[in-house]
Amino acid sequence: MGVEVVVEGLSKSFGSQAIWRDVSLTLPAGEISVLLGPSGTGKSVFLKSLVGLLTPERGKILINGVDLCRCSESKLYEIRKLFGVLFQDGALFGSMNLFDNVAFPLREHTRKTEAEIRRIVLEKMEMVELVGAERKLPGEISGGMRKRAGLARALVLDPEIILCDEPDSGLDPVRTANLSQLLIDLNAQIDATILIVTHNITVARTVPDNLGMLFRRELVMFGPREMLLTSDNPVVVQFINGRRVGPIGMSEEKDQAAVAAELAGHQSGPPDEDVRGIVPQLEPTPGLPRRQGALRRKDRVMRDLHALPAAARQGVLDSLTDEDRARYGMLAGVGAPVAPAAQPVSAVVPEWQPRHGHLPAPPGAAGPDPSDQRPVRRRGRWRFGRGGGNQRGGRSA
Amino acid sequence: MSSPTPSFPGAAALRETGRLFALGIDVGRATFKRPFQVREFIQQCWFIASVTILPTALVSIPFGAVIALQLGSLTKQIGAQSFTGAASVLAIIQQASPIVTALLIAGAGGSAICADLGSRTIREEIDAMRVLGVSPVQRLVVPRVLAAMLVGLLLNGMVSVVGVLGGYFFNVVMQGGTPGAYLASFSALAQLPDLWISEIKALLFGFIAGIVAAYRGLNPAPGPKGVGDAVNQSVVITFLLLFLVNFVLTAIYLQVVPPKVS
Repeated sequence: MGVEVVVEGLSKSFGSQAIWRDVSLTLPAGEISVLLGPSGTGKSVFLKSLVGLLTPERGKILINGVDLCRCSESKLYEIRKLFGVLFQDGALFGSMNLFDNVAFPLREHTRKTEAEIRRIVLEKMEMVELVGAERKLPGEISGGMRKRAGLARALVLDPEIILCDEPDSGLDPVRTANLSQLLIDLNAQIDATILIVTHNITVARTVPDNLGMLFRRELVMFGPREMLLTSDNPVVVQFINGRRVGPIGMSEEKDQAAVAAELAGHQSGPPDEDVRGIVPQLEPTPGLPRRQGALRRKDRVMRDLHALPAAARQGVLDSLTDEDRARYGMLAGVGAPVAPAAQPVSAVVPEWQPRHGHLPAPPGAAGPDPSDQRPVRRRGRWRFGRGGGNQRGGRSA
Repeated sequence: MSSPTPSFPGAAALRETGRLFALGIDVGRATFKRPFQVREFIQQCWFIASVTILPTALVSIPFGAVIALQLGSLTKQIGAQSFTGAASVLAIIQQASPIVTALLIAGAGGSAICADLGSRTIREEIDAMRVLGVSPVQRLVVPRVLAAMLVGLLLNGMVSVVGVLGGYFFNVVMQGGTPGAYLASFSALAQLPDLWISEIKALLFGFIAGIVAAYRGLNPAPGPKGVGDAVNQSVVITFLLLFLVNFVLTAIYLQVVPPKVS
């Protein structure tokens, strides 16, 4: 099982320039988290701090009870063996071919025979679909291949914490989707704690259990995916929808003039759609075990349900299966821990469908929930999935 | 972790110096840590030797010749021709040979080490290595520094021989000195500790060249230009340190070891 990473009050600056201040979050063991943020908000710096490559001025990073910012060099090297890190460009060793690159951690840290190393390396190469390229040098292959080779190297020691720095940059949408699925499958197989730093919205919506966002030198929010995906925070709304209008500007923060121009109605560009709302999370490939992290997360989120905003709460409740409802003692009509939303919940429960599968309601049921196809506030587009929780919550609040 | 960094004129230079020393100490400690990177060490030895042997030999011949010519004309003026050989051997073994060796180790070997480590650093290879739980100091820097030291030591021997031969040739052939007197006076002034100090200097200079190259290589300014600048700086810094350390060592040696003829 993965390892929990606790970050408390972390601050980092280069010289007088603060990168981020007072970041506190917990990466729960065995779960997948995504950290979003506009370019240049210190996402990569955060990742490097987590592995002790950079030392923050203040705060703690606790892994297995050891503070990474204060421990000795030798202890740090010991802890780093728990990590698998995928760097932005793969960071392969240029003087070695792909096979030697992937075999490097094994040769350094284990006493395996060459035959065993070969077996493990080929297994990982197959996982990232690089079989046949073992003898190539990193300089001879494309960026996407380098990235996949970097991932294979990060996985070769069966890490308990996997950090990915923009796994999607430089990859086409299909490869990105494959990589997302690969990470989910990995998590199901080895139950590692995964943190992905990205600005790819599709990845952020479909992959993680937990979502966070960095902006303006601080952590805007971090919590269960439902929380960020249904948030009304203007920064989050703008970022998720990829709009020009909002607090995020070209140079991270907008100046007053630009904001004023926007308010005066100067807008251009393609019509805008609101893609917020909760979409089904990716599931492991059939045949793999269920993700233990997802189960643990469900328990945790249900326990802390009362602390979530109403919209997120509704999203969580909507995503439960019948099995879950029985487990949490929320059979139809009983699901009343959520006072304001109680009415819609009990109304929805009897016709509830498993979320993955996108099937229309079976014949005989009351037909698809009309809320599925309700137009959203902005411009008339259809919200997909059962993301209506947002509005329901909004109305009841 | 660093507490508010004080800033006063020269603070940055002091900080850099401190970190350079820290790296030197780290290298010293990591040298005795298992596993020792034998393969990397041998490769680096071969690499440094291959880029330095020929230039060193070519530099040491004229160097020996210049010293022989200078001393030859000087001794002739004061009528001490019988000591020409002795003086030129002393000058070559004690001063010229370690300096020539170190200049070439720093110029040819050190710059290559610095460029190599620098480009690895900006490609995040060094970070990746740290994250994989492998210390780049132990894996990369130690073999390089030890290789620079060993090659320095061996080259120093070669430079001494070639330099003395060059000196002999120019003194005897060009200036008409007597071969017998030149050879016989070798042991008149020179003694065994002269050879020791020469080798110690070569060892130390190799260490300095290796450490400075590694330090600049591991801490370049960002971007390809940063690496170019780092290589440039590493050579200049090494040269400055070499002459300083050479001065200090010579002064100590002359105080500690009694001259043969007193």
